[in-house]
Amino acid sequence: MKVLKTYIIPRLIQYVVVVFIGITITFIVPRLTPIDPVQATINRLAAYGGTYMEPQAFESLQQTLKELYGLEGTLLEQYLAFWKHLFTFDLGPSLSMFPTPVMEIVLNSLPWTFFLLINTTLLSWIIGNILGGIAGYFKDKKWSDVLAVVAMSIYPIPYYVMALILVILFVYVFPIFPMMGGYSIGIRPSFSWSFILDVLHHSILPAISLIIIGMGWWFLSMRSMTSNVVAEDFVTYAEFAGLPKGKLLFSYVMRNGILPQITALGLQLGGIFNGAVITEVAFSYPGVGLLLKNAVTNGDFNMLMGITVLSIIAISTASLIIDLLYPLFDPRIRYR
Amino acid sequence: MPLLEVKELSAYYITHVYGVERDVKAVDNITFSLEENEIMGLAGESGCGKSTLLKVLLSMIKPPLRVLAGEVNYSYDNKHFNLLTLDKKQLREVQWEDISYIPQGSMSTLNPVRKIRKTFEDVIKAHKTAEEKEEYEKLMEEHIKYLGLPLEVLDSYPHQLSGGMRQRTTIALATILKPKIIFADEPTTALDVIVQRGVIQMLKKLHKEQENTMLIVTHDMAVHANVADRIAVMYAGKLVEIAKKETLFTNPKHPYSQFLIRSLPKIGDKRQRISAPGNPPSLANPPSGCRFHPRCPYAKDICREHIPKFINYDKSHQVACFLYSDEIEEGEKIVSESIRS
Repeated sequence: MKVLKTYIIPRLIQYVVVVFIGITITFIVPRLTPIDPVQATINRLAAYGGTYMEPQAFESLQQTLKELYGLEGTLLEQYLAFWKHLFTFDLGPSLSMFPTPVMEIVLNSLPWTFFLLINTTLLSWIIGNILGGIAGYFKDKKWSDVLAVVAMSIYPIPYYVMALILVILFVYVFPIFPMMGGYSIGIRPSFSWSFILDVLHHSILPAISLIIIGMGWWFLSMRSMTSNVVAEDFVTYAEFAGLPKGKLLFSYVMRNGILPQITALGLQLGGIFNGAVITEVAFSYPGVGLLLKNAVTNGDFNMLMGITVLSIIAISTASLIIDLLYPLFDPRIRYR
Repeated sequence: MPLLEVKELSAYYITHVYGVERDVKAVDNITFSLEENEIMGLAGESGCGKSTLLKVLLSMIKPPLRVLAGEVNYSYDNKHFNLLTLDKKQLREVQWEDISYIPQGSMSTLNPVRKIRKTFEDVIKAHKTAEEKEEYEKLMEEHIKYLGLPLEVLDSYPHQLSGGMRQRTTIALATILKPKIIFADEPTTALDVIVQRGVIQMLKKLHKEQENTMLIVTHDMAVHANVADRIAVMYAGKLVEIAKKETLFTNPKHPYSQFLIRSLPKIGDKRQRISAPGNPPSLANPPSGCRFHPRCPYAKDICREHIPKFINYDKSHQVACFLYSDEIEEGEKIVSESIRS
């Protein structure tokens, strides 16, 4: 298999190298800070308790904390232990919700984030690209300019402003949507219609905010991409050949303009793992983004490391998949 | 009746930038005709308006290009029409089916993400209705075979073909509906001589068997010598001379054509070649009078003030030069209002 040798294997190697380097950096960076987390915790405990500690008890406390933080032994031993834990999917216990394992907490939040972000990312990608493609093809028309101006004025609105406006409009002024959470307080998660409807009801506002902002970008980039493709010789020639408008637009213009958008979609889907931090905070949505924000404010060292490592793996995997699928979209890559 | 008759055709690129109007007079008052089953070569240096003339003759007119005056009359099979007055639907019926086009730079004329077979299907479907898929396939494959191309071409993507193969595929695509007249824009440019030969032979074969009319644009005089019956020479947006191929090569009349022919290498002749002095003029601001006068060794006073008329030097030889006639082109043809918007 030539394709396997020249296309797939080099990319797999690249993938492994990227993940390895990324995780190694995640391991090194916290250890370069001048703060000793063990000492910091002991100081904090001492400040709370303020009591005198026996040297022996102090010693064992220090030992326990080091174990907890993975700071036992030399740097090399720590590093090897770190990898050993990773291969058993053990990211250590969360420090703020001790002793629940980080992995368990993240796995609980993931479905929420995935549900919200995969749907909104795909929807905004599809709508934005179709509108952008059509607007780029008819770039001489008035309405195309109007759409572009609308997108250009929405796109740069800071996301938190957009989220706040939506919350004020649809929660306070017109109380259509609930304010907080992934589902109503008091309802138990179950596979019932009422629960599913409740979840949908809670997710509409965050979803709308994400789609509006995301669409603006996809629209603008697709519009400029297609308006370049329209000027290409093969489009002019196909126009002369009398091809129907629809075929021209989809098979000739948009088919060529969409290629870079596919790469961008892949990267964005990989980035889902981080959650949409601001969205989830603004709407108190129980996803990974909210988890990340809480970990930062609580100084939950293990949780931060865990989310970082998992997102490195997720983004690299997403770009690997896109890379492997790309030949399906662009035949010029296929045989190289 | 000639198959194609071009009458006093003027097409400018008109742009307005910050209130400044800029006209590029790419095609200026051109008159000529093409007989059925004839191959005419259109020669001229880069930027003299050859490709623009083709675009107008094919009615591929997009702003900023505008046709300001003139007629492009076609007549074949009891059909007589001025291409410039047809609406979109009527245009679709004649373009490609009767009037086809081989574009310049075939490197980018095929959709890079579509198989050649699909592109062929698209074109056939756009013109032939209610036919079975197998019939298209048959038509395609026969045509490809007939032109001596390997059938594998159909199942390739454009990037998998060499430049020459791509050009020949484009020619096959342009001629699949057996057009009456074919306009080829620099069909051999950017190809090496071996491939050029293949392309020229292909065009000749098509001409012989489909009995169509061709207008081949190129600045390569060797190509003209090979294929053309008559040669038209264009300079700075105007036709300066039309003659039979043999006449033009042996006895060119217009000073520009003379320079053109004299600059060609000849076997055994080792003298240095003389080229026209100076540079081609800008079409946005062409010289007054005869557009060649700043570079012409025979320029007289009249050349600086007036435009020479395109006259019949003899029955099959036309030239626009004051050396042969004092006739002046009617006025400075002021074409202010456009006939098409």
